[in-house]
Parts: sequence; structure tokens; C-alpha cells
Amino acid sequence: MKKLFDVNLSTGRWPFRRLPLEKLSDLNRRLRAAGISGGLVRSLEAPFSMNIYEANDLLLESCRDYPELIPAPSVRPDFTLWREIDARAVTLHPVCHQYSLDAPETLEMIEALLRKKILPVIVVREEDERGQHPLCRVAPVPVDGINALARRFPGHPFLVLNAYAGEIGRLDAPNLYADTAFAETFPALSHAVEKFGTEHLVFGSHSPFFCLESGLSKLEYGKLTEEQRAGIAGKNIERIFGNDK
Amino acid sequence: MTIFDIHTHNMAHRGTGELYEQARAHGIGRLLLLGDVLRHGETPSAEQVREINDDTLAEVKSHGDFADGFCFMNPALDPQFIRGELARCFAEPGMKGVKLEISLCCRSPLMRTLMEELEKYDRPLLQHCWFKTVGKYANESDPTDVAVLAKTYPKVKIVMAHLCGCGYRGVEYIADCPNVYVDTSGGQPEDGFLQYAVRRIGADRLLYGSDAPCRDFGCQLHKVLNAGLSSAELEKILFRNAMELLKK
Repeated sequence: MKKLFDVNLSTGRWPFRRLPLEKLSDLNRRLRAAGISGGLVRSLEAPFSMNIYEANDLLLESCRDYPELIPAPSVRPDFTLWREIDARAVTLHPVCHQYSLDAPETLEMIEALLRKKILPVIVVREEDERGQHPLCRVAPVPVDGINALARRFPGHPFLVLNAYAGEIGRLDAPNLYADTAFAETFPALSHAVEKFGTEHLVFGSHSPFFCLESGLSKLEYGKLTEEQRAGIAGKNIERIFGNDK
Repeated sequence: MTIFDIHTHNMAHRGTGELYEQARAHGIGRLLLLGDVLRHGETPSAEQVREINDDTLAEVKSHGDFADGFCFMNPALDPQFIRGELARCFAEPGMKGVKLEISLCCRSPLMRTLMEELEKYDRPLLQHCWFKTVGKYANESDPTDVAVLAKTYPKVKIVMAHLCGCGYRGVEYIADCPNVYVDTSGGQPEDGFLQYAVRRIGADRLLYGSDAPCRDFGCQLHKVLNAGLSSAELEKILFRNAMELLKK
């Protein structure tokens, strides 16, 4: 397993509690110690920020010193600077930002992003719904809506983060990729691998929410062939980002 | 360092072979089996409770070198059954305490028979517990309930399960209950809760538990190993506290 790329990293202030590695410098130090060579980073502030541009500016500023980390700024149909965005990936929080994946304005935005070869990253949830602040309940993004969106744009990859193993098993559009962060079954990754296969499964730790090494242990101890392990660790995402990621 | 996982389940439909194999692969030296506690739903009958305990007893007898067990109970059942079933289970040396799930909220007066028996036998209780924003079961206990129980029966040691489900607020509710311990299991391997619990109630009252096979050993174990704790704190949480609690 040569390359390790983490598609599920965040930085900034989560509104509800401080996270031990919320500063990107601290997180990056831990990533390096764990042998992770790169990652996709989104903003912890963007889901609940009233101004995603502020959150995106902070994200880009944080990532500036870490070329191995790819920022995935947030977009939403009603903040129309997505028309001018220059990024390799963007983050979508449809429930937090209150838009539907099949609304005409969403489809217009997605189409424009895909035309520029920008990867849409759909975050199903940021945290276990059972532990959310009682006054701030956010439902997960429905899997059926993700499937339907992906089917509208065949041939274009979409990355789905933080789906449970059961939800990953219900992702059925061939252009969908899913990460491993919430797929904690026994033994590690078994259900997701059985139902979704490994070619579109990619390593994501959801750090700093989750312990980075917990995510890595799924790769280490999951019942995988070396080829499958290498695919999840980095080769599968290379198909999207290329070798220069 | 030997690792003792005090929160695992022997599930009837999948056997224990893979559980033991995975535990050993992760360097876990000993397990506490809590039974297939939801095998017959939320409120099992006496016969169903006995069936669950038969499985755990068989496991403990045949794998005593690797596993201890807890007797599962529905505390709303007839007091005579509760006394008899505890006596039957505790006759086996490897059965060390009682596990409660979601049959009865633990602040209920119906807990009395069970708690008096635990005090008499000087055995601990491991109580399922969670602060839930959504999805709470009808009789599920939360940390406020555990705090009431602990103060009503201060001589009984109680393990409040699922630190990551109880969160910061859960730790606060039991902080002034010296007879309450907390296990590290519960949901995803969220970072930060364990560090908080160590600061707030100390490593002496924390025990490593995975909730396998509902969860994965590696995910849950690494959350503890990588929390930035001292080796002395880790030794207590991963091993020593369990040995002392179970009088091994």
C-alpha cells in the first residue's frame, strides 16, 4: 500500500464543540505521521455559515501552505460565485443549505461544475444524527436523491462522504464513489465491500471529527486483497484526480 | 500491554469464532461477553432471558481462558425469577456481573430487586446508556437516569456504557457519582470525548469497550490508543480498571 490519500478531511471551527485537530497545521502533522500523502479538505464552518464565501476564504487560506491538501470549497445554488469557481473539487451540503438535488438551479450548477471537470463531493452527514444539538437537527442527504443526480450525469464521477455502510450499499449509480469513514461494520468495511465493491470505495477518515488512526485501522484489518487495499487507499481516487493529486 | 475489552456481544446468529479471531488480531487479550441482548427484542420474557444467558454461560465455560461474561436481565420481570437467574448465572465463576439494555429505564423503582441482589453479591452492573437527539427507545436510559440509580444504590458499581453516545453532558451527570464508571464504546470513533472524560472524572473510572461486533475492534481501540493519554492512563483504561472491577 504505497499511496494513502484521505478524501474526508475538514478544518476550522465546528459550531458545536472544539475538535482536537481542528487547526490544519495540527491535522497535517498527524497525517504525515500516519503516512498519508494527501487529502481533500473542506470547511467545518461552511455547513452552518450564513456566508459560505467567508468559510471558503478561510479554507483556502488554511490550505495555502499545504500543497498536498486539496481544498474543496462549499457551493450552493443561491451563492452564485460557483459560476466563477476555480477548484478541483467542491463540497455540497444540500440539507444544511436547504436545496434539493433535483431542483433546476442545482442541476444548472452541477452541470457547470462538471463542464469544468470539478468533482462534486456530497456530504451525507457531518455527525451521527443521534448526537446532534437538539435545536439543530439535520437529516442525512437521501441516498435515492444522490443516485438520481448521478444518473443525470453519466460518466462524471461524484464523491459521497459519510454514508453508513447500509447507505453505501444502496448507492447504485455507476459513477458514484463513496468513502469509508462511516462504514464501520464488523469486521471493518465488510458490508460496504460486499454490497458496493471496492473499485469505487475510497479511504476517508472524517478527521478531525473521528480519530484518524481508527479510519486507517479499517484499511489495515479489513478483509481485503492487497490490490483492493491499494485501490481504496489511493488508486481509486487517482482515477478522478490523476497521478498529480 | 494486555487489553481487556469490557463491552462485546456474543451474537447467537454469528457465533463467536470471528469475534475471538478479530480480537486476537487486534492484540486484545480478554473479552467481556454481554450476551445477544436484543435477540428477542426490547422486553424479553423470562424464558428468553434464560436462553440468552445459556449462550453466554456456554461461551464462558468453553472459553474461560479468553472470555468472562455478564448475566443479561430484564429488570421488569418477576423478582423471584431475577433472584433465581442471578443465582444460576453467578454459580459460574466466569459470570461477573449484570448487563441491562433497554427493557426498563434504570431510574424505575422496579430496579430494586436487581440492585439489592447486585449489592448482596457485590457485582457490577453495565447499563446501556445514551443521550439521543433522535431515535430513543421507549425505555432507554440516559445519563440522568444512571445518575439517579447510582445515587439510590451507592454501593453498587455501575458502568455507564457508551461514552461517545453520552458525550460531555453525560459525563457531567455522573461526575459526582463515584460508583459510576464509563466505557469508551458508542457510535463512531469521535475524537475529543475520551480526553474530556479523563480530565473530568479521571482515568480510574474509564474502561475500554468496543461494542463489537456491533462496532469494529480496530476503530474503537485506536480512538483510545491515539487520544494522547499517558501510558499510565492507558494501562488503567485498557486493562487495570477492568481487572479491578471484575475482581480478577
